[in-house]
Amino acid sequence: MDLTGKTSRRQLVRTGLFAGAATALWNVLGPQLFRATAQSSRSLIACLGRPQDWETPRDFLSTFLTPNDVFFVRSHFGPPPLISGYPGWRLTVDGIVDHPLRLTLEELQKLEKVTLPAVLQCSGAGRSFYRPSVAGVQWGSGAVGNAEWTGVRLREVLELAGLRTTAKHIQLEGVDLPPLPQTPNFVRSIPVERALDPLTLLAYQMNGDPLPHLHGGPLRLIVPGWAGDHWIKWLRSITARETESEGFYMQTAYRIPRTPISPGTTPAPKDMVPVMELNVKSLIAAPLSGAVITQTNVDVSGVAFTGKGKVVRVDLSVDGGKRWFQADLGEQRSPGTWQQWRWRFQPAQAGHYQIWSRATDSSGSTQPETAIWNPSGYLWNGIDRIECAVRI
Amino acid sequence: MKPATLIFATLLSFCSLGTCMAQVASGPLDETSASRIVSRDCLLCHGEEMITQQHLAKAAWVKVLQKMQSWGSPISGGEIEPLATYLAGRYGPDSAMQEPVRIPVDNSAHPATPEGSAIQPGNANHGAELYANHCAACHGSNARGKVGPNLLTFFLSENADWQAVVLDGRREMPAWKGQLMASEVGDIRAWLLREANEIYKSR
Repeated sequence: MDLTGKTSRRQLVRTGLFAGAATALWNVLGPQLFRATAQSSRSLIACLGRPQDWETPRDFLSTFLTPNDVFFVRSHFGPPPLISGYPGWRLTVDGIVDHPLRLTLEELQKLEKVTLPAVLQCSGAGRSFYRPSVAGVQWGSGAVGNAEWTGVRLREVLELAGLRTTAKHIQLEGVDLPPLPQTPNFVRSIPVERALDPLTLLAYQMNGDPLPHLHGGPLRLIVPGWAGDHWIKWLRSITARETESEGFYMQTAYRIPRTPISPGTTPAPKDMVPVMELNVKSLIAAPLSGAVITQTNVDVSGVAFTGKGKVVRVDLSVDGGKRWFQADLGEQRSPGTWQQWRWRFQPAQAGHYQIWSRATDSSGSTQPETAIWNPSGYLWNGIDRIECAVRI
Repeated sequence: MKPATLIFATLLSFCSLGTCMAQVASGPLDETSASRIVSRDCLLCHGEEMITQQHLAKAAWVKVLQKMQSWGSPISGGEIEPLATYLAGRYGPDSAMQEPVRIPVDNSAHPATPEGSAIQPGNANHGAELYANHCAACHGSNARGKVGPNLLTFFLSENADWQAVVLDGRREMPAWKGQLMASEVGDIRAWLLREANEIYKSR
């Protein structure tokens, strides 16, 4: 693996090929991509050292594809041991199916190969911004990335196994084990409709490389548009069921109140529903907070995404939301991927500025000033803000 | 990646369990006693940042500690209340934000491309015997954790750390230097890797 920038250059080429009608946008965003590549200290932010919960620094969110080495890592128990070539690994498919399967990676790779870009964002991204504070890994803005995933359709594997019509949920289980016997296993399920969606993949490659171990190698689930808790890593077992999975990680964790509640209160379990689709969100990748700007033209740029549909506009404000200016917004290349945007800020005078960004999606949802509080701090999508000084 | 600013750097205090219990009974926990409980009952599974990054009121800390107790943390029922009071004082809603540590991407803990360890069956057989005699009492006969944590984790993939922890000990884990040779520690690891390969095979 090249950690010095070759990967990024290859991604640049790919990004360029994708651009098509968005060539003009590419021309303005290109320098941004190179700027990020030129950053000297490639590192991740350890929200938690062990197990590995490491977020991507904001300056690496400026490219269309987030390089693997700076892509955020989320672990419940940490990765399983890394054994060269995964000699023991098999994928089993059983439950309510006519022909249970046990597949090697080579057998799986004989199925139709599909490649698509998609945003992976942790449900808890931005948890640290909620007040009152909630327990859990205190993620900032960087528990998100956009990668090109290559694999096979889960649908094809389920059809091969002869999925029966009585199956309503598909359970997914990884190789990673909890630290103590009393700790619940990380087991989840997705509704069968979502499992059969042609965009739902079993991925064995990430940005053209074999899926890195920290990101779930040899195989993980890809659910474009849905939060990361569904994107099961180190996948080894798929079970067709009539009901949702049992256990803490399906029935208690990754749930939000059905309707907004008063901050700091605890709703009854029956009023909680699973986190599924991501909500509309934008992030400012440049300038970074703390930047000192000495020019009269400042390129403000970033990314925006949503769970269903696409982002239709991104607006910027430098006066606390009194006036808004519409950014140039790139096309959505594939469902569940992010769109890059850019806006030229021309400060009339020196001073201290707070730059706000606010995305709106095709269903009409727009980022609120503060996200709706929920007990576990999921789906933060408050208007994004950075602070910079202008000295003209 | 060892956060320098944390109080738990001074964890290996010499507070005996008896002393801790006496303080639980007589009033608020002092730093030494709290650190001792945290080291034994929290850092078993989590890095220190899991605690130091929080901003929770006492009631929320109690809830977290109760959940962790039900998940296998050895914390006793009587320790929850005083520890929650202590943690809410240090890491309460108004406490300062901690600056997180950066992990360089060329760090050995960050293998972007899998290489990993190979299975060595010969050594593994010897390792199985050694494991049963030296490790199983705390980590369980199947190595999936008992009072000591599950060993079939990524930790096995970090050979240098593995050797150091087994030979020198860490927190509640005794040092095995003098009783196990470095090669024997390697054999135990070889057996654990073979066991880990089994979990890849699914049910």
